[in-house]
Amino acid sequence: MTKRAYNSFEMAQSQFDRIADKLDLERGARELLRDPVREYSFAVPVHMDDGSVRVFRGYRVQHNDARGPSKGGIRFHPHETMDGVRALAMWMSWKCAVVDIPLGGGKGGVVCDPHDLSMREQEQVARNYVRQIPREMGPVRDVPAPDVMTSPQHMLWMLDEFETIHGQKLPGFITGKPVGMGGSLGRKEATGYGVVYTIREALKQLGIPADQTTASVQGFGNVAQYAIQLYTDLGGAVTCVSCWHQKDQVSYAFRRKEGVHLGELQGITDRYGGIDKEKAQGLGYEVLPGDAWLEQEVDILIPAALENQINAETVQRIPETVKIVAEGANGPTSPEGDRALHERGVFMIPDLLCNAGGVTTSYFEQVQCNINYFWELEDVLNRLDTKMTSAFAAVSDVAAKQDLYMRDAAYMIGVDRVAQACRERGWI
Amino acid sequence: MSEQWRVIVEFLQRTDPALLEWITRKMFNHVRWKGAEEAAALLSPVARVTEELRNGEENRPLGRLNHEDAQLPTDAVFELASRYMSNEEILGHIEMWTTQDKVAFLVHLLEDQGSSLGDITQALERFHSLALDESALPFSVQTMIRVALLRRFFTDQIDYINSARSVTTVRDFYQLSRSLVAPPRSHGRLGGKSAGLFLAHRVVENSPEFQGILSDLRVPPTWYLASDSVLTFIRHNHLEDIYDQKYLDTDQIRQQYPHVIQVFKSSEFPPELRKGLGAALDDLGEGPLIVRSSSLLEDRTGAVFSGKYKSLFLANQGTKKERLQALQDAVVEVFASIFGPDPLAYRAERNLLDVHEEMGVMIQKVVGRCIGRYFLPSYSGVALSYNEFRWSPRIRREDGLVRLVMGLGTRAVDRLTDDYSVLLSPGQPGLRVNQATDAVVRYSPRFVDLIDLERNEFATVPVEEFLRECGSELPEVRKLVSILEDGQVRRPRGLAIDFEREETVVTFEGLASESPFLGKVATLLEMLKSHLGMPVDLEFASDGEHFYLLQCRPQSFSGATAPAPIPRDVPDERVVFTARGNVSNGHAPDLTHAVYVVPDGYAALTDRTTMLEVGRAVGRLNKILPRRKFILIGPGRWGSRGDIRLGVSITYADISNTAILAEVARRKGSYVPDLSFGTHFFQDLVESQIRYLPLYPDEPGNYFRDEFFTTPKNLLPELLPEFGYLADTIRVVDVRGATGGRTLQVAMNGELDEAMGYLGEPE
Repeated sequence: MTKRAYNSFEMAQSQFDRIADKLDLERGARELLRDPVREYSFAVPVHMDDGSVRVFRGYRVQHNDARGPSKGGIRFHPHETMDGVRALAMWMSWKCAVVDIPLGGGKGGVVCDPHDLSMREQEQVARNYVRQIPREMGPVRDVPAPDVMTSPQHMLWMLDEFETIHGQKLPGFITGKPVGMGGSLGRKEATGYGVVYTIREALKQLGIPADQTTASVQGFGNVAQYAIQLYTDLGGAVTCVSCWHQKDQVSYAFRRKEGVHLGELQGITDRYGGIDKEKAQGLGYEVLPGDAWLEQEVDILIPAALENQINAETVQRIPETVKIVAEGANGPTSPEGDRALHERGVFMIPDLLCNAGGVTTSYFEQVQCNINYFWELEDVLNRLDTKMTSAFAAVSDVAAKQDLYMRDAAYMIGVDRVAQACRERGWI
Repeated sequence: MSEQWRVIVEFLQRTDPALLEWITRKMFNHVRWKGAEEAAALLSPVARVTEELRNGEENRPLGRLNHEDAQLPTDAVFELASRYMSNEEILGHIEMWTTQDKVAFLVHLLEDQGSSLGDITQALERFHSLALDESALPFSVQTMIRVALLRRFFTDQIDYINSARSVTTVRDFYQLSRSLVAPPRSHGRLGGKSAGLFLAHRVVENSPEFQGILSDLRVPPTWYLASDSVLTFIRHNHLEDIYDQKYLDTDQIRQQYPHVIQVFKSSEFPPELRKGLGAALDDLGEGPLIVRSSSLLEDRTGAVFSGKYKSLFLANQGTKKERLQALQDAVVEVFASIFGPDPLAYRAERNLLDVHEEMGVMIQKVVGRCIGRYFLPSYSGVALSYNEFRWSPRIRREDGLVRLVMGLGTRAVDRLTDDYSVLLSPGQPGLRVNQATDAVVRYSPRFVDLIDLERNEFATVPVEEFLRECGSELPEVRKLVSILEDGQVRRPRGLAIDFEREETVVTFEGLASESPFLGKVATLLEMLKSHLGMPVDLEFASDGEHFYLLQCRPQSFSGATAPAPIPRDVPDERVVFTARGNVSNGHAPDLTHAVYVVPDGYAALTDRTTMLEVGRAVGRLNKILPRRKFILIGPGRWGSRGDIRLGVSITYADISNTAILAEVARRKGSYVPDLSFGTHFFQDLVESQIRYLPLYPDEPGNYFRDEFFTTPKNLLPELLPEFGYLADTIRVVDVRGATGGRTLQVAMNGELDEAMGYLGEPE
């Protein structure tokens, strides 16, 4: 059997090359930004519960820190590779730059399967990871966060190890901590609210009053629920929500043309974001096939669940009424779907910008830790609004002035800002 | 004092010369055995000649001694004894033989094959009233009595007797007989399940660990109905024509079974048995009961009948009359399950149809407590010596497996479509199946089985609802649940859990990491495996105070199947499917047919009746396709309890001939473990050497050529014209016909966690 070799870093590089062409980047910038500035590959030895020793491979990649300390998660995964980590670190550089937070892009990982490790062993992996590069990371160098198969618990172990080595309390070393242990309020709301801040700005730009719009949402998890809440507060009506039904193993769309009631739906939702079909019918919702969410005659589509939902096939079913697509999820639109939307003149709020509320709040967590003063929820959300609004303005401004598609504009701003920082520092 | 024996001998001379004569003979043999050559001189001349002849090897019958010639001179024998034995030794032996004489009645009764269970029960009572020290009996007599009792109460199986005789006492049987209901002149036994539990309990109580880590192990109060009660019931109601039922065709059996249950239920319960059940109820009191099958064939190695016969829960509330009626009904339903399609197919498969089967019944108090209007144990589960589901390469097969659920254990032994049990490996207590918070939450138990005392019935309640209502009253609840907070699952600490406000997830984390629970299970599994000489399958429950053993039987295991090499040189066009994830070892060569329940076709069915028909059609195909030469592939989970849309409804009888049972699993997110390993359904597959293979076509590294099954001619309408209308849902492929003579080969390699189905030349 032939195996299809998929290399995510090569993909990220070719995407970068395309943007670099558009920006007409000089050769030095291309060479610098095409690869990470620093990479660490190191051994993470662990004394196992049975007395044996196993050595895992750890990676940390700092793609670019011209704009500030690197920022990015640490994953524990058996199929982790250096290339995978490189691609994600590059993505973080652009993302932080788009929302204009003073952070660079980083990512890390350990090749291990937590299913094979007891919690005590996982604690050692976390602590020994920090021991290997204690001077290469830190609140002013490189700030990790939880990622695939790592949790706030792993972050606290890493923080404790880091602080022990340095003999100081440095809670800004790591983000994603629980509230009360250096975590920030507003993390739950951040991504969903961020999505709606950008929608609000897009509507303003299109000259459409928010209270006269309707939206359809894919997903009913954390991001979707907070997005629906804020959008409804703005006066808009979400008429359709789709979500996965665990028991039936398919998704359904729940429609009420005059607008769904968030509290009502939350009351009949399990903790996995699955809405009870029968109860929804009882409350007067129509239950439609899962795909129906993108066939609704609404102004705004918010894909906030899975990748590759708007593709060559499904894009044909999107009605003409749709004016905005706001990508709450990562990569919900395929390149073919993207092209079709672009041709139809749909206003795209790309994932790089749309769902950046999460990383922005991580930045806030770090700031609060560094000043050792924790803001009220309202403060966090107001600052988030300011950041997302100005990020949107910057991207849409470039898009308008240079007649660019929003996705390209976002990428170009991200890359351009990083390149500019490198130039100003005299690196290139 | 030193010659106290002389006083006893003199006393016996006056009061019981027959006993003294018997003791004299025993003493004579004993001193000769000790080497007293001169003893021969004490024999009468005639006896001496006879004895000399006995020592020769002549092929002629020995002469008969008359009473005088056979008699030994008491005084001379004892004088001789006093030269070879100390006074204490002589006294000890006289006492031992006197005791032996006292229990002769029991020995004689047990040797008499005509004696009934009732006679034995009376004899055990008499034995008990003698208040003897059992260990004062000669070892040979102790062994003889124990072995005879084991055979009369349980089984003739030599392995069982060998394991049990060293750990049982007559007193144990006396206790057992006090909770026994049997028809008059019964020659029944208590059945396999009772035998297994009795032996396991004895092994534990005789072990040093019973004073240590297993000190809180208990067995719930139990009454037993002798296995021939069912025969009495049938005779009493003139239902004898039921006996030929087992030789009918499976379809006929299936059709008639509901009728059999109703006929049984409307028949009269024999009065003598009803009286016995009444006594059981008086003794067990009010409070839920479980009526469990314990048939003669059950729980033998290689044929454990996992979940084949019925076990029924009773809330046991109301007046004595109502409770007795409900108990009788339940017992009758368990009786009827002998004639059910599944156990009969299972017996036919193992050539056990012609073997006589009877149904013993256990009536057991359900372990648990009243919590609000519910009754339930804190947790229950299944523990297996061998772990056939190793989610990490660090887990060895011998590390064992535990399936845990909150409440009654029914959710641990059944395969469920929409719920999960928590799996742990006692030998690797630190490893968890699920790691990411999302997975921990998603694959946690969602429902709890319990007894609703208000409604007087067995019920299933969502875990969240139950915990909100009664969580704070559930014993040990902090060991059973974790708190979901801030994207993190953490153990409850400090203040009491606020079940109204806090989000809880059933993880058993405290039980696993901060209690002796896993150590206890590991000890128990190891002890029973080593004493019984085979891996075991246990059911247990805890009421928060004690750990109860509910069942112990041999674990079905497939033996050390070697991992099949996965061929790397098969051309792409000959690969039919590949699979990664949850693959076990196995090799199925030369499959000539494939049955494919098309996932989309099945999903498109709208009414339940048609979905049930799909299961029936599969059952019929199972009978006509060549045994172990076909593969069954279908969507979701075969044979699970719950929503029929998530898996074709079949039972063991419908799939017993397939070589491989494959499931097309639809994944969402990154990880869907199939946590059914250890349920009765999986035990059946393992025992029958049917390979189980999950297929994840949507995942990277997995491949599934749908058109291989959907393009060739569908044999279904030809084979089963009456099911022709299901041709869009069920595809039956003649592999050789479709491929120009090739067969489907399936190689499964658990070490690489990889499997491949490909077309090859017949082996």
